[in-house]
Amino acid sequence: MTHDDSLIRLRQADPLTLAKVYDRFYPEVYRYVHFRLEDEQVCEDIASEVFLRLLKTLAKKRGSIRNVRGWLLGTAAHLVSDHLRAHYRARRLLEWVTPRDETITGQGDAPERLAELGWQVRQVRQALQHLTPDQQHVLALRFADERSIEEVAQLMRRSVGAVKVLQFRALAALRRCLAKQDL
Amino acid sequence: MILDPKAAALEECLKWLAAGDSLTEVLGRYPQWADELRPYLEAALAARLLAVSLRVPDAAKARGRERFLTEAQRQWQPRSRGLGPIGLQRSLARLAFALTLAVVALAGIVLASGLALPGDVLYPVKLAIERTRLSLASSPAQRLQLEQDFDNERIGEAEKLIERRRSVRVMLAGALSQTPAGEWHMAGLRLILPPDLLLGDVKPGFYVELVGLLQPDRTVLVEKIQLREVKFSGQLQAASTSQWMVGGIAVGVTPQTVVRGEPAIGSEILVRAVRLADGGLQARSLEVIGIAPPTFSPSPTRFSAPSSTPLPPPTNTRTPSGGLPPSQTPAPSEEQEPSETPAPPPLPPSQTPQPTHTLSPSETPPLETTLPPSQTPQVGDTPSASETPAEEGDDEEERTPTKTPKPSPTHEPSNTPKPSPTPKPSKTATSTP
Repeated sequence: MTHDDSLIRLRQADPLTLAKVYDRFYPEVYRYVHFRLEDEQVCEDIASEVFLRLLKTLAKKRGSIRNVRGWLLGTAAHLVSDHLRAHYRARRLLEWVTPRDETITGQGDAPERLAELGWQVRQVRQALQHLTPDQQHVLALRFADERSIEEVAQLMRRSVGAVKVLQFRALAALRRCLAKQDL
Repeated sequence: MILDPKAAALEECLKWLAAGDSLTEVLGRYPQWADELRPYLEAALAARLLAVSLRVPDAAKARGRERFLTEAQRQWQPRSRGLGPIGLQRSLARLAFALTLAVVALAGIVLASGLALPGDVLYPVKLAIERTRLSLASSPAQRLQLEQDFDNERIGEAEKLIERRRSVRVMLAGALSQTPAGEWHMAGLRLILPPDLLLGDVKPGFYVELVGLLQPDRTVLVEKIQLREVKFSGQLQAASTSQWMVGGIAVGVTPQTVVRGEPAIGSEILVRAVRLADGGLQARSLEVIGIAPPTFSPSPTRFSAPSSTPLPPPTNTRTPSGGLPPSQTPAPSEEQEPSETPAPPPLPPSQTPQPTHTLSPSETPPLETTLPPSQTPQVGDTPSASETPAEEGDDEEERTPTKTPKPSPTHEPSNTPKPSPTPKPSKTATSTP
C-alpha cells in the first residue's frame, strides 16, 4: 500500500492540493497513456482530460475520491480504450502502410543501435495493440508506471493471484504477436 | 489451476529482472520451467524497452497544468446564489482559492526572475520586484541608493548580454562622459546617437538614462536619452547660495534653479533635480509645499495654507519663470502643480527626512513608449510564468506614465535670480548678482 499520496483528502479541493496532485501524478498518467498510445499529441490530450475529469468529479460529488492514483489511472484506461475503439480501423490502415524497416545506414555504433531500438519499440507498440484492454492495462501499470503486483491488484480490484495470471497471459500474447511480426 | 504456479514464478522472475538480474540468471532459478518462461521474459523485456523509451514532455505537462488550474479556478466560480451567509462564505472561499492559486503559480518565479536578462520571459518580473522595493523605500536617501543599485544591476545585465553576444533593447542609466574625440560613453559602453535624436539638455557630465539597442561590440544604438530626474520632498535643513540640504540630501543650487514659494528652514520642499556624473544633485526647481514654523523646532502643528497664497514677495524670491510664461516651459508636466494654490500637504510634522511624498525620483526609465523589450507575456512554457508577465504588464503601464521627466527649459531670465535664503524665520531670499 502506498503512503498518503494516493489517499490525499480531496474533499475540499484547495488549489495547493490540486497542484500537488497534478505534479505528483501527471507523469504516471502520461506514461501509462503513452505506453499504450504512440501519438504524443493524443497522449497529451488524454492525460490532460484525465485531470479535467477529476475536477468535474470533485465538483459533482463534493470530493471523496479515496484512491486518487487508482481513480486517475482508471480514468486514463477508459479514455485510452475509447480512443482505441474510435481509431482502431484508421490506425490499422496506417500501420499497413507504415514501412517496417527503414534500414538506416548509421556510421557509428550508436546511431545504428538507436535506430534498431526505435524499430523494436515500434514493434512492441504494434504487438501491444493486439492485446485485450485488460492485458494492455496490466502491462502499462507494471512496466510504464512500475506499480507492484499488489498495487495493480488493488487498482483493478482483483486478487493478486488473478492479476498474476492476467499478466502471464498478457506477456504470452505479447510474445506471440512479436513472434508473428518477426516472420 | 495449472497457471497459478507459473504465473507466480513469472512474477518472481519479473521482480528479479527489474532489480537488474540478467535473463540467464533469472531463468537459472527455475530450471524446470526455464524454456517455458523464457518467451514470457523476453516479452517482458520488450515491454520494458517500450517503457524506457517513454518520455513525459515538459511542455505537455506545463500546458496541462495550466489548463487544469485554470479550470479548477473557473469551476469554483460563483454559482449565482444569493448573498446569504452561505453565499458570502462561498465568495470568501473563492477569494482564498484564487489567492492561493496565484501563490502556487508564482512560486519560484521570484527567485528565478532575479537571474533574468532583458529579453527573458521573467525579466519584467524582475523589474516589478525592483519597483516594489523602490516604493517601499523608507527615505529619499534610501530610495536614491536603491535606484543606484538597480542602475548598476542594469549595467551588469548589459555586460552579461554582451558576453552572450545577445543584441537586445535595454534600459540603462549612468554618468555620461565624452572622450576627447567626441565620442559619448556611459558605463564603458559607447553610445551611438542617430543624428535626429532629440538630446534636449542632455550633455556630458550628467547622469542620464536611455533606451537603446545593446550590441555585442559594446555599443548602444540610442533611441531615447534624457537626464535622470530625481524628485523627492523633505524639510529644508540648511541653505547657502550654492547648496540646500533637504531631507538629509544635499542639493546643488544654480542660477537656473527655480524656486517657488518662500522657503525657510523647516519648510517642506519638493525638490526636482538632475544628477551630475559624480552623483551629486543639481536642483532644477525647489518648491515650498509646506510652510515652516518660525523657528527650526519641530512643532507638532503645521498650518500650511496661508502663506502659499499668492502674496507677492518683495524681492525676486521667485525666478521669473515662477510667473509661468507658457512660452518658457514647452513641456507641461502633469506635476507642475500650481505652486500658489493653497495645498495643505498632509505631512506629519517631523523634521527628519520624510518620505511622505514618495514622488518617485524617476524609477526605471520612465519612457512610457518604450517598455522593456520582453513585454509580451509568453504563455505556455511554464504555467506560472505566463501569469506573471501579464500582471506585470498592467503594472508597468500603470506606473510608468506617472512621471515623464521632460527636459526642463533652460531658464535664462537674464537677471539670474539666485535665491539664497538664510535661516531666518521669514523669507529673506536675496538675489545675488
